[in-house]
Amino acid sequence: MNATARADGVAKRFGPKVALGGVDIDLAPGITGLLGPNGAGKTTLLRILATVLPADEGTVELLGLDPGTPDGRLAVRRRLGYLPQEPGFHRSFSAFEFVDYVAILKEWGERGARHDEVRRVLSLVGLESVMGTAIKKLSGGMRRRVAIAQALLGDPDLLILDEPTAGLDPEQRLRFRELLSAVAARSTVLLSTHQTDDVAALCNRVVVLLGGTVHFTGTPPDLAALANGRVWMDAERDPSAQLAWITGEGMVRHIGLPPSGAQLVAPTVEDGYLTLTGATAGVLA
Amino acid sequence: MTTWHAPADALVQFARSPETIDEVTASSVEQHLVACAACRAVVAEATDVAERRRSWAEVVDAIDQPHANLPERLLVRLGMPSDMARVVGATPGLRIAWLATAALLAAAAIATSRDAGSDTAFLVLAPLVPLGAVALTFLPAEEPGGEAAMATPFAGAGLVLRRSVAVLAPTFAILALAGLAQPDLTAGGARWVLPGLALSVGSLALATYVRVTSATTALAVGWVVLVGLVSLQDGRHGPVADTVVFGVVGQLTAAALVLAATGALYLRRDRFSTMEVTW
Repeated sequence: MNATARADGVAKRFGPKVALGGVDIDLAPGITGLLGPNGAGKTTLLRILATVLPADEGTVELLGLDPGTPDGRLAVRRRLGYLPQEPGFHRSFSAFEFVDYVAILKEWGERGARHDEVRRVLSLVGLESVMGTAIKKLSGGMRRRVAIAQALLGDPDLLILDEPTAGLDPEQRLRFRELLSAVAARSTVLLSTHQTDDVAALCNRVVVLLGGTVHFTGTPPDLAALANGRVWMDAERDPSAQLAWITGEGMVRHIGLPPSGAQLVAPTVEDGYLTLTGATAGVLA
Repeated sequence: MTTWHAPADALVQFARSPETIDEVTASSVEQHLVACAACRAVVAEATDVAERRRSWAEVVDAIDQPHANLPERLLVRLGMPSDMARVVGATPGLRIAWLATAALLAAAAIATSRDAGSDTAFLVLAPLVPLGAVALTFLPAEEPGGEAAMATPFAGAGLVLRRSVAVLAPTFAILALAGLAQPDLTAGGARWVLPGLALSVGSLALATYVRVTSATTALAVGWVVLVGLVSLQDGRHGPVADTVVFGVVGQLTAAALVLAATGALYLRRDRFSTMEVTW
């Protein structure tokens, strides 16, 4: 694989808590999905790859540069787009003012060109009609799209997105998928999400992080295949299943070790992920 | 439908240089255009599309132009480039609220000094005001770009120092004016300046080791305790301005601390480029 970003043995501690315990990850052009439960270390890893947090151990190489040096970090930041989990934008700014502010920080000095770029990215996320509206008056989904817009400034070569679809409605999520797949044609994208269907729909590769270490790297079909022979449907709940829930058709979908004669079905990425994480939430209704 | 059409040359003139037509003719052409599709087509053909697009873009840009707050406008007037002024002007410490607070603090110190008949309150409080101002520039909730701003080329020591200078300059100016109003401070009225600089630059340097709040609190408490102890020892027989803290030794020590903190800041400037320096 021709990696454009790489982390080798990256570790990070916060006091006694180990957030990352030696993570190896390679990112290639296209979209890599990052899955993991809350507290798995996804946000810490993303912050390290976005150059906003230094690793305690290990090496990081982004776009062929070392972000551990001032010059390398500056060069990476000039080609980077980053959507943090909590954008924390100034709510008295309008959508335009916020993205314009970030554009200035991204060295868009010439006002006319900068404003054109701000309008372009806000249009990309479908916010052209509310550019002048104060962020505090926008819905949660619109605010998320404002945050996505700033990450797209300047067509970055490396785009790091922490839960970009949180708060987006189904139509907005589909539009986001369309947008992101176009961006990924020319960039390397790392997408952290809890939405396994986004991973299945968008990603070339997927990495699963558990307890601060990488537990799976492969394609979405590879992840789904982890649940081969472990997903079955039945009219009744099987208490021995690792997980079971009633589907819209009124059948119970099970994950775990199937009983003999069970009606096996093709697993999804979500099934593979749940199998890997060993989720034992019990029977879900 | 009308059968009369405006003269072609008038339509072309209307399209290309409307400012050269007298008002009556312009109104007449305008009214006619509303009812006549053929003349509208002539105007459309004569219009310089590129010029109209440029004009429209200028109008849109003027509408979208972010609102500049007072500090930002002042910085531009002082010669700072508008984009830099926007970034620096967003500093919370520069906001009117902070400046008003600083002014109130200074006024309170003056009032207290007058009541007590001494310079103690002003000299003790004045160095703490710039210390607080610097701390406020780190307030995470007030960073307009949030965490995303940290991943930009602009983030780092350069931005922190620009914001610190921008917030310290008006703060020192306010305090200097307040110092002039002190009844008991004359030639020694500026003796708070070096301690104020030492505390504010020191807090920046210390923030590369510990949290900003910890650094600020430690220095503020340390300053008050120092002045208190020295006053107890030396100041029983005179005003606090005559103690060693505000004497030659104290001033030289403060100057040395400013230099030492500046050096530490330079050596550890890279820490400001990441989230290692936290509120």
